[in-house]
Amino acid sequence: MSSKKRRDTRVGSLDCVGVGITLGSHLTPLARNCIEAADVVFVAVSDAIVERWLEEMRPNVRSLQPLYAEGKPRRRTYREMVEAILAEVRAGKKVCVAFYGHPGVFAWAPHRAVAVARREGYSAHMEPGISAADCLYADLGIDPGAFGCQHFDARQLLYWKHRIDPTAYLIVWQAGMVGSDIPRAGSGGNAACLALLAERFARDYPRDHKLIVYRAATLPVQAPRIERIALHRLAAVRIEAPDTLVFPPVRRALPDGKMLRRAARVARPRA
Amino acid sequence: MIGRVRLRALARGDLALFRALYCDAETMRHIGRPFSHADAAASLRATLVASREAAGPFFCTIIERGNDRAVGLCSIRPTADPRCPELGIMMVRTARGRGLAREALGVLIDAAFRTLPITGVSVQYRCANAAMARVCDGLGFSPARMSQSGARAKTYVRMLRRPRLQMYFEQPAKRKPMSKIIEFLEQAGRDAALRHATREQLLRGMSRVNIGKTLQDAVLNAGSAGLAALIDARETMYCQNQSKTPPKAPAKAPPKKAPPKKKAPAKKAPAKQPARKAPKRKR
Repeated sequence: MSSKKRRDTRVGSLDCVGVGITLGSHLTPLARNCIEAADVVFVAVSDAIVERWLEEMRPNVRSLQPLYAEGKPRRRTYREMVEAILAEVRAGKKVCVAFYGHPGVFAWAPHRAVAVARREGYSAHMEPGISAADCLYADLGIDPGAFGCQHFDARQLLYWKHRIDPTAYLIVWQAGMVGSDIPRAGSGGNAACLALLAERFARDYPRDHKLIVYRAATLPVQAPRIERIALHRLAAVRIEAPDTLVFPPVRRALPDGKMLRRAARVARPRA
Repeated sequence: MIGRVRLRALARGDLALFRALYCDAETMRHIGRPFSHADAAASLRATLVASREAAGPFFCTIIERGNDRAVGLCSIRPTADPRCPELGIMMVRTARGRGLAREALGVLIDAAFRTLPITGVSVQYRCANAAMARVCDGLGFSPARMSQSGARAKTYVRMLRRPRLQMYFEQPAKRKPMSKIIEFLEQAGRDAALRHATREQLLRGMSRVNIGKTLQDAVLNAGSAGLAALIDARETMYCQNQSKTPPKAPAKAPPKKAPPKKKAPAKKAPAKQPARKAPKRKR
């Protein structure tokens, strides 16, 4: 059967939407409509009050939180999320999954669910939401275009050999989760891994370089966390999963004379 | 308050319900292979016999009060721990998504705690059964943990201890202030004037919608976690990530052995040339 024919016969559909970060402030009209119009609504948010809000907005929403468990590999949880979502799509339901922030940023399950649903011939879309990065630019007054901006998951920097450019902003997400994916890591695993992370940053930044610990406000009555600390104090500060580390550039980028000259040459109008 | 469902003991006349549940592939997707009609009839007979035994399971038919229709089955069966029986529930397709399963299980739990010498109840369900997870969340069951039993490898086990039940029955009373709070927070999030309001402005806003002093303090001082505890929201929340598993560290290369020093070949004493024989002189 061709994929086009198959698409015509499949009635289930999937919309992955983002509810933004701050309760009530960031929900787009499109995301609200998807949530209200769906047959089945799954919710994957990281704040219990936001989950309650969505439960009130739409009774019988299904939280994906019970799929997590202490000591259970995250990858298995995410696969089960995808299976739970697709089971309803395959049953012919109009399914909406509401994720916090932007559904496609630092999240494996929504991308996977949309890809599998499309491959099986169902209509599947991802609708953007306001992410924590968007809140960060606004709260810290950072323009990512000013010097350039690099985004990394903390574990990517810790486990893989990445090159950091200290002339641009560096934004490190989920620093509070380093060590959480290492089997048999004890309760002190996070602090020890943060110390390792600080050691990694020290390769590119001076130890007294001031970085910002940032956390966006989840509730409209809260203020964001904006705390400036020196790099050498990183392991001594309480860093949790929603916290983000922001490194301002440490020096100016040098002009690339060779490319400048070549650019001038190719841009010059020919006689 | 009269609920929307009531329970009665399973009877021979429930064959149609039994078939609607056990012969339906969609209903059985988290349980096992669907039964044939003949198998369902045999299973009903066996269940009724087992229910009459003192140590056997007890099955109840769930009746929706509005139309007096049988909409599902729930059961309580003994386990290895006699003080903690296991509960089960199945609902027909048309009765799902309306909170009836949670109500029915609540009625069964209430009856079990009132009449049986037990300290708690447990449930087991397949990990992918998000609907059952939601029902258990609503009733205050403990967080899920993987079943250790080999036969039910991909199942969660959750427990409900007797005192937690009181919280469940207190929920309707708690819901009122919670709704007000959520409504207020949503309003504050949408209202540009309230979005960056001062503490006094927020307090005035909450007083206007009759949010009590305790909750006002919780909203403004305790932060998200304290407020969550007050409105009986979920205690532990996990957040997603990219789920990249740490790479395996490349095996440490064995330290290179220094190449063995080439011994300077011992200077061999030049072999003694055989003494040349002096050519014979021609004579």
